[in-house]
Amino acid sequence: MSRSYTQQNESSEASADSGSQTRIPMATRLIEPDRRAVDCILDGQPSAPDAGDSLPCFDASAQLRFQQRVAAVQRWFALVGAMPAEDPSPDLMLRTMNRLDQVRAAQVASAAPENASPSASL
Amino acid sequence: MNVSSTNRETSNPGTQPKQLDPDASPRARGSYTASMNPPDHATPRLSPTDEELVEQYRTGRREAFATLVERYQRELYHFLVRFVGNRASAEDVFQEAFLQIHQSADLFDTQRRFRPWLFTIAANKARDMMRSQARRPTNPLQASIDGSNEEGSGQFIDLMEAATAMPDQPMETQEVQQMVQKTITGMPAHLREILMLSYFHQFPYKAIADILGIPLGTVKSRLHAAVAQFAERWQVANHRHSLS
Repeated sequence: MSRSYTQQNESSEASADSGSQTRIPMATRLIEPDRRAVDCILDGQPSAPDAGDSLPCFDASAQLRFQQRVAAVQRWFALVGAMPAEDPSPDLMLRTMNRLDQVRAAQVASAAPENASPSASL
Repeated sequence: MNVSSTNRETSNPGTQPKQLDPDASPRARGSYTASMNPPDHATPRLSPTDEELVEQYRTGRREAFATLVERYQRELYHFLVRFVGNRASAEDVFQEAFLQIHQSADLFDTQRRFRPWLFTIAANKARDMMRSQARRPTNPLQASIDGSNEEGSGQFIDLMEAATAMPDQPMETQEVQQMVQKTITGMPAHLREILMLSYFHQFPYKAIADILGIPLGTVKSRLHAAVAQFAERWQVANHRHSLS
């Protein structure tokens, strides 16, 4: 990636950050081989190649290039995988079940008058 | 082909080995939950499937519901905290999602999978919550849930070339983790969401299409946009970091 490319996007982000919102006007797209590699990694199937592309399985050198590309894309995913996620509070399950019990109790209470027979209400 | 990363998650990640089939419940692949077996069993008994637990809950067995909550608390919470970006909101949405499961349990078709249904409900609740927060003037989420321009229309990025911006240090370092978190949190919600479902939770594209209620082609284009945007934002962040 060229330096000018990075600087260009940095400046566009900086100008966006100066506003009250976080919009970043980046509209970058993956090139076709990267799209196929992403699909291969995430869904097990590469997307159909664009018309005119040679199928990797019919061309050993193309297959090797594709494998190298998949490896590069996997490195990006490994970086995504570094995103941390803290564990839930130890009492989250208990609190969830307590809320469930409250809801169920409220449902029973609201259903009770409807189910009561006229004679019972007398 | 699968990515080997320590952070890709599956259902019941605390007790289950890494799964290759993202859309299968723990039971469907013959996993065991030792804590649910009577101690006098010589061989471990298969734990009930998620769908069986829903059926049991319909008959009034509260503990079946508790098992579902326990089974999914880590995975669903991780999805939510990464998606909504803070602990309190993630816990709120988590609870709301399971309350919705309770409300809709009778409508659930037990011939279908529970896990995508749970994530469908949770993702809807999370989006609702973010929209309501975005309407508040002090919240900066407005832009991040703007769904426009999801595929992008500008320049192309070559991930192999761009890999020069990869960190030299191990991915596990706190500094890298914080940068990644900041990078992903800054992405639009609809891209962040689909990246979470696909990468961390390993849902196949078809399942993601069902969960989000969008066409398969949109799943692909959003994922491609998410990866492109992550790489681009990372490069920007990395460049800034190297200057500081």
